[in-house]
Amino acid sequence: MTPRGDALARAMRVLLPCFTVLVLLYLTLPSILIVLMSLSDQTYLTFPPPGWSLRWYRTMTEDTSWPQAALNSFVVGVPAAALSVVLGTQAALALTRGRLRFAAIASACIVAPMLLPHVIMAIGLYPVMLDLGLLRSYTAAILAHAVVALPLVFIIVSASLRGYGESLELAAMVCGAGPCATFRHITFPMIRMSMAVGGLLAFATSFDELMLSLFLTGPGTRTLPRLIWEQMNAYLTPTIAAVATLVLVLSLVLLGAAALLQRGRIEGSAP
Amino acid sequence: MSSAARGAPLAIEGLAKQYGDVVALAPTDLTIERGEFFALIGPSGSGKSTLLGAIAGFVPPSGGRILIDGDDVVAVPPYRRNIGMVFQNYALFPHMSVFENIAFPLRLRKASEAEIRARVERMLAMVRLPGMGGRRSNQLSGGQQQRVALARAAIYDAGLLLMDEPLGALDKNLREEMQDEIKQFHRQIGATVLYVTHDQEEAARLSDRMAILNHGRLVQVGRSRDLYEAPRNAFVASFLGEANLFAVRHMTSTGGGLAVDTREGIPLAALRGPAGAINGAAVMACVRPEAIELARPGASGLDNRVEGVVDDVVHAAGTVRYRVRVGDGFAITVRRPSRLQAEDPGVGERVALSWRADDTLLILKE
Amino acid sequence: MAGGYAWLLAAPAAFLALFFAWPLVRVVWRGFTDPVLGLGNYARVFGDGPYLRVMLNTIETAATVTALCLLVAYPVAYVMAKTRGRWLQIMAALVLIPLWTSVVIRSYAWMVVFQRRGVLNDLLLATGLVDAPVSFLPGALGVHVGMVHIMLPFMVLPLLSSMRAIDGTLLRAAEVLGASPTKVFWRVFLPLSLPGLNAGVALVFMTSLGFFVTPALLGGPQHMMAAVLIEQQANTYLNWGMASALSSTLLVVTLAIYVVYLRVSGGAADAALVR
Repeated sequence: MTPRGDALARAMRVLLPCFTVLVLLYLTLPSILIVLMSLSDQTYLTFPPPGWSLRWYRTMTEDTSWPQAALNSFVVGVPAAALSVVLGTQAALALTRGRLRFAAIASACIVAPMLLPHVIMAIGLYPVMLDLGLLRSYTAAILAHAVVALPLVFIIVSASLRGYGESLELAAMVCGAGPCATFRHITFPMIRMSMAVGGLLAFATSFDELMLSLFLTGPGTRTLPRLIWEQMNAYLTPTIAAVATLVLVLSLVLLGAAALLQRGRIEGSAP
Repeated sequence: MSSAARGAPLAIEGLAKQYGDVVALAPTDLTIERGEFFALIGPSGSGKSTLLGAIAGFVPPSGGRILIDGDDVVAVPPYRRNIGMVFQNYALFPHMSVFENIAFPLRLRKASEAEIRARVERMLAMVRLPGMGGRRSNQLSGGQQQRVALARAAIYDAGLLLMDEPLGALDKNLREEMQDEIKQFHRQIGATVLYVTHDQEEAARLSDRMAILNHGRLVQVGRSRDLYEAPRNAFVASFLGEANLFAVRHMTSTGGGLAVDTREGIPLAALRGPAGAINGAAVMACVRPEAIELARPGASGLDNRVEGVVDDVVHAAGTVRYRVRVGDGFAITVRRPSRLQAEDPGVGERVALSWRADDTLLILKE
Repeated sequence: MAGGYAWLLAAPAAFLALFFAWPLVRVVWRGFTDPVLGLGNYARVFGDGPYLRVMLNTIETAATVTALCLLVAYPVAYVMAKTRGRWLQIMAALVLIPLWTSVVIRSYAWMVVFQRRGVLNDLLLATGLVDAPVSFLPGALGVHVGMVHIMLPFMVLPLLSSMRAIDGTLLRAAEVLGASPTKVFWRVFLPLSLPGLNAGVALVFMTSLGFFVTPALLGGPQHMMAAVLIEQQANTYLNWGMASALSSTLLVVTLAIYVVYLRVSGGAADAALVR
């Protein structure tokens, strides 16, 4: 019990919360700035805006490229998320229940796409998609996004499978349930919330993905992040802020949905 | 009960399991009678779970046969073996009600809704949970969950019920209460039960016969009393209850029995040698603590006599345990019933220990 | 029975082989063969030119960002781990919201902060700290502030989950045994939070190595990072051989960190990384 140590500990009790508040402000500041700027009445970006208006939201809807890009993002994101859920869940089942000898290496390989720089995959996928005749198609972006979103589903579903152990499935089998019945009656009800959360996160990943879209989509299939990127390099106007605000709102809705699902998952799987 | 199933006999022939070089279960033979309550006991890692897993169909054996009611089921997947099983952590389905948990096997067997309702209600009454069908399993106490697990395992009249340490998660008092219930339940349904536990007392209370496993090998099979009174080797002797074990140096035949020379330096008198012809080095002498009489030094005693100093006295629930140092400090445990206000010897007092020659059990070392 | 689930690996394995492993093989192959077979591209990558400088700058920036994230995130996660109930929910939401805001858009917001007539210059001018607007863009400050902002949640979350898993009785036991609060922290709490720390550091370092948007918008040519350079080589100069060689180099660096992390964490790639 050194007095110096105690004084330090006391000081920390005050300093740490203050520091935390500052950091949380830093984390939220950009989102707040974006929302405020989207309401500016000026054509150049400045803060605080001299006056307020909704003109940039109007501009956004008048330019058909924005709704088209938003639509493209959904056309790519929904199937990409669905594909990641199907494949990620299969991988999670195989590696948590399959008693494979090389499970640790396999799981490291499945998680890798999430961790490697997307630019490397973009450089590699471009010629592959070209060979397959898929370049600039929705399919190319869907497949690429599924590759980087699959690990998320895999991680979340694996955690859920580990959470309740194998004995439920063994119990079902002893009761007379074959593999399909076991999955339908036991495994699926136990992991469906995690699959849904994983799917939402996978969609969010695709919705925010720039690099792969930059290489693999074309003018007709370009997604929202790509259009924002192109517009940003061309001219900085508050239209981008308006788009960003809408994207932020959508993200928050998805975040809320995921949080609700997760709460359901925790309650649903309590022993 | 009207739906009481006749138990199925179980025969295991040369069943073995190896993981690479590791022998989880050495080739094992075991026969369990129709309707018998049979316990498998042994320390953790002794192979009892492997054996149970192989019978359930979770562990593919490396060799041997498993005959349930005469049919070899080794190649049959678990869901077609028609075995009931109660798991250690109950394994109740958390997303289903109690009713649906118990009804699950019947639904898989495509029973009619009316039949399911009738049978589940009857089963709920039998496990003393009437009217609880609508509850979720996480709203039940440990003992109640255990009864649901029993009901689910028995609802489809399987001839063989496997129980894997079903009471392991319960505290002592509840465990004893549940032991009586399981015994009662077994009488009602009449199925053959194979019960895995590491608790020898539980096995003794519940089972007709038991098998002791150690290091993946079946060491001895028999009734609890037989195993206690005639343990095959030192492991069985010390696993079932307490045992004072002496290393035997050699034995010589005397008029009515055997004179035993021990490494501990205490000469013993015994009646019979160990089962099976064995040279002296692999033999041990076992004396149960409750077979030993305690008296003042010099008092006349039984066939075996040794004096020592009381080292420790523990009174616990009706018995007194003495640790007595004899000879070079070898400790002998003595257990006597505790009598009210008795003048028991205290720590530091010199005492004479004695026991009858037929209480010196000569057993195999391994 | 035991193999019953194993066959489920077939579809994901085939998918990843075709759209993940095969593209990586093509990248590595192309780095040696385009435009001609040989080590020409690598001679340029590791030669005197700007390429090596960009690669080194990438590693340095990623390391700095990781260190900054750790320094900032550790106290925040510590405070969050000690908080319960509503306040924890609010803090968690504030950490998660930026995670769900587009990276492109967040970098855009930092442009607004750091530009010549931006928020920061307004503030500096108003308080009289400077007389004329300071030119922050392009520059290292913006890149670091922007990248730390994006990576911070990825450091906070694994740290938080690791800290929340620490058994409070261990800390009390250490106190009872006479350790001062400072000692309890260094000897007990910090070592027990290491799994989250390792996961956070690996996640942030590897992701930072591949950053594109933030350095492209805020860094300029002086603070170029690998992903920007690779994209430029491929899309602007159509020099796919060079882009592939640079990608392969980046791949090797990233994989090296991944392998080290897997060794340190005991091989469970999925268990530690998220949640």
